[in-house]
Amino acid sequence: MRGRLARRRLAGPLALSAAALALLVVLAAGIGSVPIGPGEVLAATGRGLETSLRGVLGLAPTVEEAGLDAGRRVADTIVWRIRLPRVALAALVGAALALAGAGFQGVFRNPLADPYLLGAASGAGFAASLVMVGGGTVALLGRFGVPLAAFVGATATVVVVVALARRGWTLPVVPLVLAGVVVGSCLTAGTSFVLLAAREQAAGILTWLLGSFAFASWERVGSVLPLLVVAGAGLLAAARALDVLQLGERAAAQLGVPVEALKLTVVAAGTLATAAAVSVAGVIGFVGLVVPHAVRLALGPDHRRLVPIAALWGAGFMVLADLVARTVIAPAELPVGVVTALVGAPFFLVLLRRGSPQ
Amino acid sequence: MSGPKLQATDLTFGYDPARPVVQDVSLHVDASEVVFLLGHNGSGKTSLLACLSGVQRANAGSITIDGRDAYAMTPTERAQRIGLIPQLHVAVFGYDVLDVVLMGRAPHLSTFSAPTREDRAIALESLDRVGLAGFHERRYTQLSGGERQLVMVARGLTQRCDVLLMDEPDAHLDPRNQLRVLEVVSDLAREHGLSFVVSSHAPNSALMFADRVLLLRHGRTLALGSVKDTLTETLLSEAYAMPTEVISKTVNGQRVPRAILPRRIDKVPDEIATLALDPDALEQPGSSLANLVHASRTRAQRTLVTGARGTGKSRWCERLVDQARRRGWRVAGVLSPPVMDGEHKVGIDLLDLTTGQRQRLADVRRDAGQGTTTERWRFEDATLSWGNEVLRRAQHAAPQLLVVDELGPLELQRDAGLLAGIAAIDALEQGLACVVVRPSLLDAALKRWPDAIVVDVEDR
Repeated sequence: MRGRLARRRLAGPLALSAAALALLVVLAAGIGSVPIGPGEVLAATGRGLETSLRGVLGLAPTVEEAGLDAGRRVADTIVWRIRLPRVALAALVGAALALAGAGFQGVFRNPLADPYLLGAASGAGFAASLVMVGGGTVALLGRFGVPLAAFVGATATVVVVVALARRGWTLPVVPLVLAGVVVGSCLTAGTSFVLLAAREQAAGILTWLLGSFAFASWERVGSVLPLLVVAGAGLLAAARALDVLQLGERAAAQLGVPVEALKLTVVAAGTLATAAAVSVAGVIGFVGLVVPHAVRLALGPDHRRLVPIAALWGAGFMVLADLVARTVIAPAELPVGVVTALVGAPFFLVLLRRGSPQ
Repeated sequence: MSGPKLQATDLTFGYDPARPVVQDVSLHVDASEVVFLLGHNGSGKTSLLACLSGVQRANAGSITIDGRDAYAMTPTERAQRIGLIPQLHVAVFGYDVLDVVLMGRAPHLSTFSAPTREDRAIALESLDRVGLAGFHERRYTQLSGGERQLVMVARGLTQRCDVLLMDEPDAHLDPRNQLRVLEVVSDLAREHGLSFVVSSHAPNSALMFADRVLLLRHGRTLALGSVKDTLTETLLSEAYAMPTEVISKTVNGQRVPRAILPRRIDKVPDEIATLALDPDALEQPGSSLANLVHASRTRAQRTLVTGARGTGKSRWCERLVDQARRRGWRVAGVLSPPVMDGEHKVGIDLLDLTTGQRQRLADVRRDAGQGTTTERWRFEDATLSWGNEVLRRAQHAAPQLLVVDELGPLELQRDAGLLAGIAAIDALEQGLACVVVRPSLLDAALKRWPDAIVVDVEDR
């Protein structure tokens, strides 16, 4: 039995989750082939931030930086240039997927919904694999080629699915989900074909499909963050209406909830978050499915708590998963999608065995 | 202020306007009133409730709440006056009961404001009113169906509206929980002045709890009025396209309807008095059958042997014939034993009781209905004329026991078939006549032989 306070308050769990996430980020940035202590991580982060800010503001580097010893400089590079972008990207992607999962489960009133339900992953995968195969022709897109293709593929797929499912100005849920599944299957088949035809690039495509943060950079962090903020704001605004929607569409409409607008908002916000995540990290499963359930188990189903806390827990879970992915068989890496599936699948089975996820 | 709380005038609604599911329905609901909506599946009950609640906009007609045009209000304004409780829904996620009830505050809150202490107090008070005080921390998904329905009522009360529309609140509930939910509805109407429109598939619930009833048939008003005026056998039979029986009780000299039942076809109507006769008690002193036989020595006694299909009417006659033969009676007439193929009755034979001769009378009908047919059987015209010959001979034999098994729709409604059987029964001056008749034809047979005694073979 959860305590009454735990089910009513937001501030406490939110602060606790944020603090835990921050700690996790600092620890994760310290772990690797060259271990770096938490203090050193914080210091390096501070210097990295300062340097970047000075760069942005057009100021000269400080004397202190110029005078740093070689060891410090290496640590700074490892933390600020390599590990921190990767950890931050993992956190953002985890947050985005958990947000989208919470939103989709709420709007479809289905505990099995996940961010890829409407075909975003299949669309992104197909588009990304095409770009990877046709590398030369799209070289002009440069290092943003694959992420851009994945983002466009994901959003375009959901737009098509919504267009197929809509009836006039309404968006009935069952046709929407069916259209998502069917369109997704088609695109997955397309990706399989590309994989077969690709030969040399097949391994690279497969790695991307399973998800990885190996290509993390501050640029990618910067491209995901604004999308995540917009999607998160949309879902937070929809949170209370999502609660009322659980009474059923008709009852919710009668209570003054603009049901069709709500569905569109949540589908749009969830798709934006999913597309942002997939574009920089590939298709990482189970986070969006499992994290919202874990939050409901601990704190109840109220969406005003579920949405922000799922984002924080999703971030934390992904940071941990990536940490495992890059350390267990170091110097090689596991695809992070393999790690989330290995942890997520058993957890979900336990949920299923316990009956309906609370 | 007086006047109806809710007034709907000439509502017409269809998802496809060319095919309306609700047509020209008018309804008013006063304060403290419970109005039941009854009608067959697809009669438009749910659509009408959706229109009344404002969730669906009617294609034509108007709705006023306290005299104000409902469609001119914002959804939030409407929701502060009317609440809609759809059919029992299955919640996917395990909200606390209090959270569910608080959802009723939605029309009173803006997007980002959280429920206040006052909202919470209203929710707790509502739970108390539906008899669920102390349930607020329980998990909604773990409640019984009846309790969940009551939580939905509390959610409606938390909306602070005066009219609650409930779509089949008694569906999927056991009788005790149906009663519990509807008693809460009734109390809230009587004691707190709330008005209810309740759709239901249970006319008996309406009988107990409705102030007025709207009977819908194919989206149109069949009847609207008091329980006494609407829940009649004629109207209910029409509403459900099914013979319906209203059982009444006399209280203080007045007939009060107490129960509504479908009338089973092929069942002996209650108003026809029947007698149970044991064919083996033919000469048992003092038995009804022995008395009947005694009376038949001076004057013909006619019995109509009846009972639903498969209850053994022919078998009953056979036993009587056996008993009579054992005593050396003159027995005449015909029996029609079934011809079975495994468990299925595939034909009927005709058996002459005097000679023991037997011919195929009828087969299950397979064609479109050439020749002499009923809904189920195709009759052999040759056997029918042979049977008439047998029965004419029986009439002249002046039998002590005359059996005619059976007189069906051919003979009693269409002046065809074994008409010599009717003549033989008519002509009988002394002796016992047994005519097998199915329950639906009893009225016709009694019209012909008003003093006949009805023997119900099911009645033991």
